[in-house]
Amino acid sequence: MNPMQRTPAKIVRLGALVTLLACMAAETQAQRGRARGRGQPQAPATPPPAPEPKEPASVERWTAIVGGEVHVGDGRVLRGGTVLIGDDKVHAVGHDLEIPAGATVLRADGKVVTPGYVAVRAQGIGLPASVTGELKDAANPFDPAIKRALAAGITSYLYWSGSGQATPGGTTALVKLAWGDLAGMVRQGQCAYSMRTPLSATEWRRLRELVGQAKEHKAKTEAAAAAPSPAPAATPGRGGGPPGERGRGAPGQRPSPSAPPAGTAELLRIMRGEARLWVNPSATPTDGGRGRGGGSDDRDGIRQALQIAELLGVGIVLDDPVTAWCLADQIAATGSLVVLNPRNTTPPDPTDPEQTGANIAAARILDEAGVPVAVTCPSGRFGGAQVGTGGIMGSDLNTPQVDAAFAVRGGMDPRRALRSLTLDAARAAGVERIVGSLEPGKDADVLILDGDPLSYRTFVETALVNGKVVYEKDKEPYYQHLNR
Amino acid sequence: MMRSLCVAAALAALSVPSSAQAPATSARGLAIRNARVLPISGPPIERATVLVRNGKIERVSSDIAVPPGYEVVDAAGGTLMPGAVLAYGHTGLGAGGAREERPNQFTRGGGRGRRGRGAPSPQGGAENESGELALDRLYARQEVFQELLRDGVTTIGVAPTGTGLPGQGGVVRPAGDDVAAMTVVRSAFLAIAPVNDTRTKTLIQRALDDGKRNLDRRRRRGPEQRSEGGRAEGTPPAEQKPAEKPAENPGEKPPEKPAENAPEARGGDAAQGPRGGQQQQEPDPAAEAIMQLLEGKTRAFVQIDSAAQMLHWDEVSKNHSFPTVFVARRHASQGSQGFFDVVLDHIKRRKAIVLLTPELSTIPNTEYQVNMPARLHAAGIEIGFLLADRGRALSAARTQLMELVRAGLPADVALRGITLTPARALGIDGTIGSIEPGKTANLLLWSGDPLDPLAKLQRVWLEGNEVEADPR
Repeated sequence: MNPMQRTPAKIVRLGALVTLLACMAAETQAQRGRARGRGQPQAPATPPPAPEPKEPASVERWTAIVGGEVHVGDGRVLRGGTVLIGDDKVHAVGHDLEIPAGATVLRADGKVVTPGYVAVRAQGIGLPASVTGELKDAANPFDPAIKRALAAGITSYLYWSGSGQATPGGTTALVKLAWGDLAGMVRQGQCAYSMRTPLSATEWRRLRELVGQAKEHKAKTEAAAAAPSPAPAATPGRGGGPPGERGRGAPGQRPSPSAPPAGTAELLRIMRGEARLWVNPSATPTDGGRGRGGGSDDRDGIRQALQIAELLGVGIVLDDPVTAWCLADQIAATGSLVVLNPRNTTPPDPTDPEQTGANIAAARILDEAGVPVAVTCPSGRFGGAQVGTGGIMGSDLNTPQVDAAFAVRGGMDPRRALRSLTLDAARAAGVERIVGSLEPGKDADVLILDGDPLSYRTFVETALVNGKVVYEKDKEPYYQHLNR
Repeated sequence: MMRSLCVAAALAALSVPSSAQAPATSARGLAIRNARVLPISGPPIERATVLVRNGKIERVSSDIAVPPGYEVVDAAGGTLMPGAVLAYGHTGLGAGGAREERPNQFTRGGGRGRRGRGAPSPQGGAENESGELALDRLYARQEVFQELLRDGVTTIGVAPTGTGLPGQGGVVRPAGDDVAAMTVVRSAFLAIAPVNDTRTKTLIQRALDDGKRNLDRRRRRGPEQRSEGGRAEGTPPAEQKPAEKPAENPGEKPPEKPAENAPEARGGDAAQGPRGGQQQQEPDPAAEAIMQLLEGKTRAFVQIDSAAQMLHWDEVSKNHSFPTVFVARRHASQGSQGFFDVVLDHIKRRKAIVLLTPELSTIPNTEYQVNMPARLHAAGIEIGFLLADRGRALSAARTQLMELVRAGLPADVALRGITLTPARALGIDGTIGSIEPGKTANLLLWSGDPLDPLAKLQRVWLEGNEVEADPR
């Protein structure tokens, strides 16, 4: 990479952004991308600010994690800092915070305190693979896989069931690993949709049409909202199933002016920043009579995904791409993110220059180009990029920090690597307002680690989800026998 | 076709001996002497005499003379205990009574229902069947009853099959030529079989909420109609005194009917008939059953196998309180949903009896076992055991109980768990489940202690009549 490209244009927008450092970091990357890109709008890279912390008077239960090396998740590290938790939310982070009387104090001297890891794609943890009806009605808050995931530092994950094809689809939810707390598990529904590329010419035309309709509708509703008459705001369903069927069907029913055109509900939510679009760029068959299969050249798929991002005006998430590192600048220019596993490497084909393969430096190259990277575990079979519960005793669950460490091995800055498990993972999941860092107002999902977050020797000592201790190493069977 | 099949089956069943029918000894009186008696309701009595007359236990004591005319059974060296109670099963429903397949039928048929309404289920699925009686689907002449009786099971709770709100369970004795002769209690409990999905949870929650609304409405009207105004409107149903109920119902019902037409016209009343407001409403038996439950006049048998299911059940039933018995038929294999010991306080809060299979539970992914019945008992929860609803239920359970006792469950709890506790759960402990004067003479004579592996079942009496025992 050209070192000139690393020059951060950090300070430019800082004055405009009032509060949060998460916003700042995101903005930084948008700026980086813009510096070299085609000047596309950077809508998604700016996450809306986290909700304000509760009024101290309304807090019923205080918890304070005191004395640790606090990795806030936005880049700040506070030695001997305090994380003050009011009920289920982070209330404040800093030095010398006043701890309210009656607070539960967790000492973390000599320990490392980080946000809980967000697994951007997981299955089999507290929920069945497919659910009819609402997710929360099928949740199992006593699933042993929850404890195993907590032991690995995962405090929440993005649940996937089904997926979109040529248009966004699939059922998703942010699931908190709130052991024993049925109501605390399904945190937010439909924070992401998925689709695949490359699209055929017909599929591409259809998508353009839908996006056109969606934009028209968006402009109309925004104009109506701006008008003084109180127009009913279109609020697609948050918690339940996909809102896509909302406008469809029911011919006898006159569609209300705020009902989106058929098939555009998902697109509208993506464009409004309410949900993230994941695109899985599959490799184009390139055998050309040479008798080889698909190969690993997914550049066409990536380019089309970036076209979709430009069409929508928001960055997308590239799901487990192979050649993304070759297109890092182009990806950065659209404000898109990449989900990958640094251990998923494929060798280049010396006889075919198109087959660039993927290497361990991919995460670093993307990160330096300003592309946020979310790291996942490899799933049971090679090449996957999701957290499974397979392997011996769910061993696939055990390695988030090791996977991030592989990105460091490829040259990534360790703090950025920790971010790839926390804040950037939350951004990929479309839930950066809720989880991913220890900023005030966010869910209190906190880990107390007994060492460097990315070391293979490090264990989770205590994990909190929604402000409650849900895992303690010396009380659970998994690692209690391992003392350092 | 169906009819001829039934007739053929009935003829075949006639050959099954129904020995308990013959009133051989009941008039004459029976004295069982020198047995070690386990009354269950109290400490064991050594070398006791049990007098039985007219199917009832007359006296139990170690120092009574046998009155003249009594048939004397010398049971020296043997142990006498009450007959076993199979509290919850689908015994006898197999021949045409089982409804396990019904959800599929409904899925195909969409929202069609008998009453065309019930709870409007999101996926056109299950509906509130609480008006159905399991005993209406029972077929009497089945060998399984003879088998169970020979094995020492003298009382059988029959629960409807299905999920959600499948109906009301009854109690039968395992003898008799037709259901009427077998019936002990036609409706002993309301079966609730929750499933962790939105459809079933919504069904149950709506039924309970509608029932409560109807009750409130009925009660609000009640005081003015009866012009006594004795009871406050908000009195929870569980606090009503039993004596009050029979008195208030006849006086309350007639006047309320016309009054309830108003809400019915608005279509908001689950207790209303489906045929609309034009017609005088005929109370929906399903809704009526739910109201009976909420008033505390009947009890719910709720199938819960795991801690996760308990939390889901809490969500569904959080606004209501009613007498509850938890039935755990698969608890031992549900470790991946959490064992009961993590929700002990939920069980205690409901003061519920837990009926569970006599099994050790295996911790998931390990070979370690835990004795959940012993843990529940140690936590102060009343536990009883579920017997299999076929074949040699008691023989099988006996082996399992021995294992539980070996693993720390007190022996008296094990034996009470197959006799008095299930009888209490069914609400028939006034007559069944222990050896006390006045109670039904369902007696088992063992060659030794019932929890001794070498002991054999020697004799079985059902209501004072000896039946053939299966010594295995």
